[in-house]
Amino acid sequence: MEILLQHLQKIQDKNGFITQEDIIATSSKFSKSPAEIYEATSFYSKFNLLNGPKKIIKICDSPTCHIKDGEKLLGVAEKLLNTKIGQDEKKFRLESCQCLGECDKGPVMMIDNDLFTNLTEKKLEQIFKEQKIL
Amino acid sequence: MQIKRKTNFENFKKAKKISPGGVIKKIEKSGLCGRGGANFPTGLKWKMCKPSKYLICNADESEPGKFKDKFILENNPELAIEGINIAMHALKAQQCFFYLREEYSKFKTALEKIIKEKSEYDIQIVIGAGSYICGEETAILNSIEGLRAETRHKPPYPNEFGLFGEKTCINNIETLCRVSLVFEDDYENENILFSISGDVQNPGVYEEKQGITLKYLSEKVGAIDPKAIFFCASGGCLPFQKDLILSCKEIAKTGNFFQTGIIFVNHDRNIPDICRSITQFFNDENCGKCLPCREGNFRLLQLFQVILERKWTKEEFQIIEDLIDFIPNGSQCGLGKSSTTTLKSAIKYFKNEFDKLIE
Repeated sequence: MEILLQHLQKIQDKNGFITQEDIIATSSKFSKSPAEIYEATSFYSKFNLLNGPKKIIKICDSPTCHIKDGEKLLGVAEKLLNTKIGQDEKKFRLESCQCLGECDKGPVMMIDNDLFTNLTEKKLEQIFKEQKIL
Repeated sequence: MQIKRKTNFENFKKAKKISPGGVIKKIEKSGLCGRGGANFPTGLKWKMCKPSKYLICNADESEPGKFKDKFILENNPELAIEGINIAMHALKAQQCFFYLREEYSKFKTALEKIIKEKSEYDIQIVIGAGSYICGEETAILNSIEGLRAETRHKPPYPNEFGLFGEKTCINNIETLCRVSLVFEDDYENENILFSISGDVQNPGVYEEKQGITLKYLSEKVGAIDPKAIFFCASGGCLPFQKDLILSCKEIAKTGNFFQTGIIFVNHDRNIPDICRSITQFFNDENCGKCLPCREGNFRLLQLFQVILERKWTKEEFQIIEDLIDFIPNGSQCGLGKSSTTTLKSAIKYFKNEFDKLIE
């Protein structure tokens, strides 16, 4: 059985984002209206409805990472990348996110589908360089 | 650890020799209760669900402080698949959906291999798309159906009107692992998986009996200067007391809700600040359907952000206390009902820390 979420994930994995055209094409495939597809797509934080492929940098600030200074790291990331949380830059967007299921290895960060654990300020800078964000 | 015991599907063979009704009786007799958080007796649930068209294995844990499903997926996914096979037999179900949270999608290939090689039933893996509420039993149905993962009004319950309108049974992945273990001679019904995080030397997953003391657990995990424990984000919090008994019954007496994810917090931490991150969590993760939960948690977050700049006025703190009672009463699902449990117990047990922040 084809599940809508999986179909949208395939598009996102392939292109890095979901466009209006994708939503229209998906609606005819699933015999639903584009509004219904958009309604579902916009609910899930995984789906990127921005116009353009971007690296999505998510730093966890849920309670377990929060007590391990997740919030402080978000501030450090803002400074390093010269951006604000939730602000669209050309190549990336920095986001504060909720639990990524790695509470024993906090604080944690996800860049697209790659996970980084036990973060420190130094490690953060190094990862940004490796990922060519800095 | 029983949960790590490797299986060659002998337990499923044993189950198949018994009638579906016989399997349900055996599960009922074992006393097994759901490990997803609600602690509902599994045998009774199956009795109510039988026969079901669909079985859903819920591996969508997203609660801060809980990572036991990941531990099972990493260490013994075969046991979960065996448990699913036993459940499919008992429920006479036709199809199983294995709902995996997005961050655990890396386990999909290994699971598919086990399903192909070992499972007798049709098990389809569904990857979530980053939503905490999908762990709720009716939101997961909407998610699989391709809708917004808003919770449904109950009744009708999923055992009457579930996925695509058919009878559906939903079990947590740890519960299904335990279903398989019930068929072993040395099955221990009190065993549960504790996820330990926070200020400890050895964070991780521990299999222990329900009813152990906090002293035993804190020594085992190497708690560092503990001041308080949090039961995930939604279960509440308590001051560190060595003789506290960790069981559903005992924790309920304190006005909290026993969650197996325990976050240790040391004396350097600020309880109202942790509460601020909890309000952020529920503001971000509520589905938006019920107004008291959606707007109430948003207002709570705004009020908790005040302490970043100044103290609360008495009136502001009064609004916080009012919202703490108001939100659970006006919300439909478990998320809304439990979203202020921790704030309530934090104010009750750590009032001095809050008092310092009021004008």
